[in-house]
Amino acid sequence: MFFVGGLSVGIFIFSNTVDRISDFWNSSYMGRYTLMDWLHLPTGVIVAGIVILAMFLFWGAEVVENAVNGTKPDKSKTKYKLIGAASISVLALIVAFIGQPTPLERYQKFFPDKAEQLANREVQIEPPELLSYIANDHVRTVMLDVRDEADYNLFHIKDAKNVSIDELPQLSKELMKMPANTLFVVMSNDEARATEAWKILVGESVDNVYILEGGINNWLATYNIVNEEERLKGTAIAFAPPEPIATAATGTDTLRYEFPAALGDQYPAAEPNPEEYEFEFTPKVKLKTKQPAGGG
Amino acid sequence: MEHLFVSFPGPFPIQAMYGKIGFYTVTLLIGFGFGYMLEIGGFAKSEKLAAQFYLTDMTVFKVMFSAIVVAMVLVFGAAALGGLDYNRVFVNETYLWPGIVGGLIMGVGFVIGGY
Repeated sequence: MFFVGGLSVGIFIFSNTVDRISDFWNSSYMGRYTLMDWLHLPTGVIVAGIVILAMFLFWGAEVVENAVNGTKPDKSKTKYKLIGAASISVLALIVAFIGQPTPLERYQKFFPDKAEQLANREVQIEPPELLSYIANDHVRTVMLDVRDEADYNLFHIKDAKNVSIDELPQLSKELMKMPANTLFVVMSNDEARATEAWKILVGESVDNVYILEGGINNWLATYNIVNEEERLKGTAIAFAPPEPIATAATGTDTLRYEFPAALGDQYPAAEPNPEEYEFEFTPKVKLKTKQPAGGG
Repeated sequence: MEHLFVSFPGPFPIQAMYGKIGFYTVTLLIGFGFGYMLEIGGFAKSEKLAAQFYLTDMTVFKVMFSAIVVAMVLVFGAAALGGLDYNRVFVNETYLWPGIVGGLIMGVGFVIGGY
């Protein structure tokens, strides 16, 4: 009776004050935050450390228990406790020894279908397809430019983000939180480095990642249209002789164009007007809706 | 059948694999098993829970921490062997200070509720 009464009063107070504490309630949000993120240690070390800590705390707990109760330690089950402790410790050490798979290992092990799509060029999207998605308000397009900062500063597609390959595993956690209708497009000068980046992101279980076919060189081949006046004044990106699209295997992943200045996204080709171009491409993007995280 | 293997390795999309009924059956079985284990462990008695805070009976601590350790070793072991995609395992999001305050309120409630 007393208990139920307290419960009702508690519910009443809570429901009438919850708005006032909601600021605090939603404060210090850290997202998916684990011990590995906190301590910056490899997973295996954490696992082994926690197990050792647990053994120590179990022993300490029994010491405290006996001290508080004034009882003598019960030795009858020591054997089972030691067996249990030994087996979990051995398992933890094995886990630490094997280590967690790197993004590339995960890519090779977990995503054979993706490797097939890569080989069949099903994930390399043509520049017009990318432009159509940039112009598409229903899809959020996140462009990741994995070239050197120098190349990025010379020219990049407007709103493309410059990231290094090393940052990708960390960044992928942010990317996974984005809404399901987010399209990720990685790009380099040709395709080689973008393909590396693509493998890492796929290995980190990010959905809807595509590669810009032929990279920035192909983008410029498609959209670097300048008038004669600009060309003669030398204020426009120089034309490069037409070449077939360089794939990861054939390209050198270097920028083939010459730039009058490092103007980044200030060139017209950085932001082509979607209405001026016809979208002629083989559609390859198949947006996959998010599979909710399981095992909650 | 093909869709069954789309998201291998685990965690498995139970609902996509076995349908709604299967999903409910699996969750019900796990829930029942969990409850049964707590019950036979004596965790349904508030005295036992409160005893933890008086340091006279450390069972709660030992059981909870054992469960954490075992689950941790199995999860990361499976991930290391390639049987589980850890990035897709649900991890509750952290709100640091609200979490600490909420934990304290719940702990105090345990002690008071257990007399």
